[in-house]
Amino acid sequence: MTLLEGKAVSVSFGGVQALSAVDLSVLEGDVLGLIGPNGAGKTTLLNAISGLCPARSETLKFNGTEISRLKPHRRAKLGIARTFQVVKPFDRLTVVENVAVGAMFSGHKIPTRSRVIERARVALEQVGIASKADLFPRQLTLSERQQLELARALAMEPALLLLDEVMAGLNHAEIEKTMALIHHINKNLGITIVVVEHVMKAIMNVCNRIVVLHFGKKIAEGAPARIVESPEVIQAYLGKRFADRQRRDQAQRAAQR
Amino acid sequence: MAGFEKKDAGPALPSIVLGAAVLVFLILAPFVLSNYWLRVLTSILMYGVVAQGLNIIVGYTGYHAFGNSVFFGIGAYSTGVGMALGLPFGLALALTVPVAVVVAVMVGWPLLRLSGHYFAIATVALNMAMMEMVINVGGITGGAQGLALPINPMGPAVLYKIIYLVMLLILAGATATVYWLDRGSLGYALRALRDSEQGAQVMGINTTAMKIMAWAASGSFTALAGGVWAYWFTFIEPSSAFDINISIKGYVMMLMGGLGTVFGPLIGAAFLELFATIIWGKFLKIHLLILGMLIVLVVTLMPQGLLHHLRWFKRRGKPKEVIR
Amino acid sequence: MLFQTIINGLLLGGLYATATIGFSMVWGVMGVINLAHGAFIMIGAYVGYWAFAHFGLDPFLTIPLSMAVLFVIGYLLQELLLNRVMRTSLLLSLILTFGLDMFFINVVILLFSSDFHSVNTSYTGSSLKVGTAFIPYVRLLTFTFALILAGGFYLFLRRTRAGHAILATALDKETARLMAINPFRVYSLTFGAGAALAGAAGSLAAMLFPISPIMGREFIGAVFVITVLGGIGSVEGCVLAGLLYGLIQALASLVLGVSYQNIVAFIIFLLILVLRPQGLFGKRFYGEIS
Repeated sequence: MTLLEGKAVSVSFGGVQALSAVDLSVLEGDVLGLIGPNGAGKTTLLNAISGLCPARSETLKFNGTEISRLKPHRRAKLGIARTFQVVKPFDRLTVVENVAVGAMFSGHKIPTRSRVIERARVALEQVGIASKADLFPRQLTLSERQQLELARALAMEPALLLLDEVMAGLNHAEIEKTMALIHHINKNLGITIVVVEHVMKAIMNVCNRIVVLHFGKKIAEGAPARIVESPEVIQAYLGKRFADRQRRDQAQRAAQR
Repeated sequence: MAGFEKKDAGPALPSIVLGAAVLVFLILAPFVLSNYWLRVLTSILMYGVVAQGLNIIVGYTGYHAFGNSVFFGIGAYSTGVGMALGLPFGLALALTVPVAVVVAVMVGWPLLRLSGHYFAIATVALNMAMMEMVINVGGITGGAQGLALPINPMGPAVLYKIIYLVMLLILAGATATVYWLDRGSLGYALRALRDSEQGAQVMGINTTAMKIMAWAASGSFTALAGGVWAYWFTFIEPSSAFDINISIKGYVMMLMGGLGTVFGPLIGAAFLELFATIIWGKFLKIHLLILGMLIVLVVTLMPQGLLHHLRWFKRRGKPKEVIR
Repeated sequence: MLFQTIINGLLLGGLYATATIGFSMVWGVMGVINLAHGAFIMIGAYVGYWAFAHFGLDPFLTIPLSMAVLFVIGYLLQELLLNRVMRTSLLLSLILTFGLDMFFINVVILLFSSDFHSVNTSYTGSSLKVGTAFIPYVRLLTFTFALILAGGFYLFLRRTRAGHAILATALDKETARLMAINPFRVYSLTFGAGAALAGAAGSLAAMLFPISPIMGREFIGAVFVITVLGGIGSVEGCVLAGLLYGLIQALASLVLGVSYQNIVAFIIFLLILVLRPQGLFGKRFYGEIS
């Protein structure tokens, strides 16, 4: 079942075309990777989906509902949660309060304050920073703040989770942990995920499909193994020389069979 | 201990005792104080309302409405005009609330999209614009000549007591509202949007509606204070009803006491207004100088507010609240 | 009548423009809204008056004196007080400068009393006749001096090292720091220069307006509108916006009546903030609509 469908999504700022007619289709249960060189429009696409930037499209549907005209908070209530590349915690609330806000205002009505706190604590446990519940975001390390950002989104119990470079600045062990967490969120909690990432190892291991953007256009889409070999993608990242070499290699291997 | 649970633990014993003493004093005041001191106390209560109004929009929502005195003036003039049209004081005062709400909604819609400094000075411009509008419209508002309100036949002794009580009730209402904000989900929504508007939006908070509601509440209480003030002084004119110093004083009181706290603005109001009254009495010639210096000192040395520095009031959480 | 109005508006606009440049630069470079700016203008007027009344100095010659006095006041205020507060919060600096404004007004009342004073020279009454309009010499000269000061400041910013340091800090404080520019020194310099310009404008204003301790408050409204209209931090913007403001005020006065001129200004101000916050020449880096 298609959870999110976007046709011809375009975003322009002043004279700059950040996204040109991008088609996107996310199936329930997917972990969709969104990659591309810097400036390709990946965060812009997430912004367009979550409603933080004005976008034109033929259609943008979530769970069958047209959301292109809805304000961000309405889309959140429908079940779309996201994290930010530059984390935006609520500085003057404690960690557990930060996460509780997610539980309080999501589309799910939680009847009592104690249940809200419970939901928040569960999210903190899932992410691994339960011990920091009473601290303020300022007192957390960068990777802990990324985890807080994730916990906030999880507390909303979303159907679709948009992750914007959650692994930026993490070390090897932290990346492994995050990969396992994403896997858990998808397989055990049943949440569909769109991941924007630069850490290739993570993308390859965690996603079942990848979409590649370049200068605001979609240039490739498919299974991770295929994407990595695709000349268009290689050209976008590494330039024409490497792409030509890739084409020659592929032709050679095809001729050898 | 979670932030939620800490709140439920309540304040320390010294503050409960002090709070009770203050409450008793406030109730007995009309029977105990001389007319002069009762008026001073009423003034403190009035500024307490203004400071709490500011606390809602500044402390909790993060929008620095320096020109919030516009609501004070709106309250004064709505009450004045209402009474000039024949309404009794109670009704005229009650009607200031819908007027304030309508203004907050109409003006908040465009202005609350501005951030930081821009919003602050836009509210100042709004205040000045309203003042000019009253002057130019003239007619039933009396324009630049001012507007006289009907004098109550009861005579000053009884009247001042009634005014005091009405002001006390309004302050109680304002404080109760802030208390409710401090603990309720609406309060969390406001604080979230204060710290990160986009973060709040993607978590399901309708930031536009929340901001406007907060300003409407802030404006309503401020307008009520203005309405009572108008009846109290029986004569109002644009430059004093829309005096920007009213909100600046309120702002400093809120800062001094501690913004984003329930009782901070009250402490700030009591301190500054008492101080200003004493200075006015003894040092008329240099009172501006002293007030100016006091403001400079407070801002430079105690930006977190008195409440933060007084140990015997238990604060939630440990790290300081930094004013952005 | 229309021609006279236009001339009046433009001449006054030039003065307003120069009175505003300091305020606009301080806001643009440091993000500080200096509510004591009106007091600086007022102090400049009083310095000018004092030198004129006690030493018979021609008012135009008092300009260097008022500039020097105000530069020192501004520099010290920034060094000792504002730099400290800016580290915590920019909005607090607004309250701080409000307190300073009250303080200065009271000091001036103590020194000079709240009576009005005026500066009258031999040429105060005379005018030049151009077509159907009368141009008072004083207004023409103040206009000229105002523009010279504005031009001088513009050149200072673009042609001197100190000026470059100020512009660099406005654009990017961190990078400027990497280039061995001490931002706090630059702030003090900027604040001092802004105060100096206000002082000069004050000396000029002394010739046109009654001098009183609260005359600064009459200016501050115009200063705000012109800053936002011209684009925060832009000298050219200030000049053009100042002339435009003077013109609009004069025309509003003519068409709607004198009492409406302020409200027209405030409405324009609010409209700009909501519709085009960067003004005519500014860049959209402060107060973006969220």
